[in-house]
Amino acid sequence: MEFNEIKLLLEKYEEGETSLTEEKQLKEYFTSEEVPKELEIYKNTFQFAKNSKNIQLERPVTVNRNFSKYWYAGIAASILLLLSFLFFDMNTSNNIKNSELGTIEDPEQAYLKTKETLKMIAEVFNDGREDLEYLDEFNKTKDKFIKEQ
Amino acid sequence: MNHHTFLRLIDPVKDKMYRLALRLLISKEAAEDATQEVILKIWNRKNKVKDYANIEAFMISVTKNYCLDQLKSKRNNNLRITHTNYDNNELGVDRRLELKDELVQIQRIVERLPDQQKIIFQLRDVEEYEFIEIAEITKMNEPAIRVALSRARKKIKEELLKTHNYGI
Repeated sequence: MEFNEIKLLLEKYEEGETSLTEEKQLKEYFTSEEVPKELEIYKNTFQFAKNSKNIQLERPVTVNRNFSKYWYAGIAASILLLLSFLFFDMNTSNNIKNSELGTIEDPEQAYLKTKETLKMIAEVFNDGREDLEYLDEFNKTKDKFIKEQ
Repeated sequence: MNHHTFLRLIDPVKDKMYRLALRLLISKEAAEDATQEVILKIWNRKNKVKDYANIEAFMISVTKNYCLDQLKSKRNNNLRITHTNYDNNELGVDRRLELKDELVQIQRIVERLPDQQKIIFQLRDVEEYEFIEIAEITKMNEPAIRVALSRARKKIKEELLKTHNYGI
């Protein structure tokens, strides 16, 4: 390219008036040919622009990061849940073992003691039931009006 | 749209997004994070993406806005320290050695441009977008873009002239 032509283009370039094609011509000229000392200042600028376009994103991009985040959270939560069940189970079975189950050595005596305790519970239940006998009165009155089939 | 289709759609644009993020945020790490974040953002709105006539311009535009937001929040918090570094005019020995590499020097000059000029320089001189496309990305009108571009180009030349004794 003619020296004068380049100078004219550069003037236009600095005013932001060049077209893309003209700018490509300039880039081509300044990055491939030996340039006169007078224009050397532009050489690096165009080289810089050209080099800048070669930079590439090295880190791979993903779009399912959100998904996997929830996925991991789900897995973590279920493991925690499972562990807590296991832990709870172990704890309670240990408790039964450790609590005093056998202060009475003789089976016969143990049987009697158990029977006595169950009887006591039954008595308490029956006490409660006696109070419920009043409810029969309700039924008697109700039966006068509503005949069961 | 499944994510394979989406990734194929994003593939030709992702380097451009990264380069713009890098131009604005300077740190490689931050630019990579920003690109990933913006791609996720677009993925979450993938049903709307189809409505845009020029998807590439839309993606670059989202990247630009995201990076500017990042810069804004950074400046509000702790960018003071880095700013004082920049204001320091006395260059250290290592800095001066570094400046011998001219391309690094241009890099520094571009870093000091206002954000808007940085964006326009990046889109026009590096990515070679047409003015109509830049207008779509930046929401500026064409004359304003030309003015900003002209200022950026002149500033780079001016700064280079300051530090070198070129025979112009």
